[in-house]
Amino acid sequence: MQAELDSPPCALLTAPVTPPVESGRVPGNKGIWVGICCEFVEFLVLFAVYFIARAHFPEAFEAGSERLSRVSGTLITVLMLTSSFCLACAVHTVRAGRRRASVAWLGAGLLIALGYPVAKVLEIQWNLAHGIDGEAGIFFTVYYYLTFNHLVHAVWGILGMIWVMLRHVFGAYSAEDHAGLEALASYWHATDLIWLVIFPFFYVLV
Amino acid sequence: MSVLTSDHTALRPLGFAWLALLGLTALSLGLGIHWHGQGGLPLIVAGILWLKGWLVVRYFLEVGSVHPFIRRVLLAFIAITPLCLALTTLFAAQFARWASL
Repeated sequence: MQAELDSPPCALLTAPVTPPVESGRVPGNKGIWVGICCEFVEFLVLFAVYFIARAHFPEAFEAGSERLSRVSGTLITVLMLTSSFCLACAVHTVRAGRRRASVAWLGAGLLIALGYPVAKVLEIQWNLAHGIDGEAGIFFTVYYYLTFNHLVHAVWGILGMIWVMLRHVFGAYSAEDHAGLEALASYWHATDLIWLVIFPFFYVLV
Repeated sequence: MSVLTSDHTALRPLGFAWLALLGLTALSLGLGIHWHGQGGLPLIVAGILWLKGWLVVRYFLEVGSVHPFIRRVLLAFIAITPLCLALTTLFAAQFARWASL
C-alpha cells in the first residue's frame, strides 16, 4: 500500500501481473447475475418486437435508418465500449492489489459513461429538429422503445458506478474482496453487449 | 498509454480487445454506408455482431473462467441475435407470415 502511494502517477496506469482467477466462479455475486439474466430476457423480447416489425414493414425500416444520426449511434458505441474497457481494467488492477490504479480506471469509466446520457439528449434534440418523434412511423417507434429502455438500464449502471466509486475511494474493495466492483463491471459489460446489438439494428442495417 | 505497451501485462489483452471492438464498429459502419441496400449486408453484420459479442464475453466478462450456467447464458445471448438476424434475412417472407396475427 505504501509502495503504491509512493509511486509516480504514471505508474498507476502501468499494468500489473494479475493473479490467475479461479475457474467456475460467479463474477461479483449471484444477485447481479439474476438481474443480468432478467435484463437479457427483457431485451430478447424487445429484439423479437424489432424482428417482427422489420419483417412486416421492410420499407419503413429501410428508409428509417437513413434518417437517424449515425454520428450519435457511433459515439454512444465508442462511449459504451471504452467505459466497459475501463471497468474491466479496474477489476484487473484491484485483483492485482493496485487499489489506486483501480480507482483511477473506475473514475475514467464513470466519466466516459456519463457521456452516454449527454449524447442521447443531443441525439433526441437532433431527432426532434428533423421531425423524428414517436409518431414518425413504426421504425422510429421501435427505435425509441429499444433505445430508451437501454438508456434506463445504462442510467442504473451509472448510478451503480457512482456508488461503487464512493465505496472504492473509501477503501471498501481489496484484492481479496472486490465482489461489489466485479458485480458492477459485469452489469455494465452486459449492458454494453445489449448496445452492441442495438447499434447495427438501427444505425447500420437498412 | 503505457498500459498498452508494457510486456507481461494482464491489461494488454483487454486493450487489444477494446481496439478490435472499435475497429469492428468502424467496419460495420463503413459496410452499412457503402453496401447500402445489398442483400448480403445483414449476414455480414450478423457475423460482426457475434464477433464483437464474443470479444466482450471472452475478455471483459472472462467467460472462460465463469460458472458453466453463466457461460451458457452469455454464449447463448451473443449467438441468438445474429442467428435471428440471419434467419429473418434469409426467410423474411416466411417469417412475416409466421409472425402475423
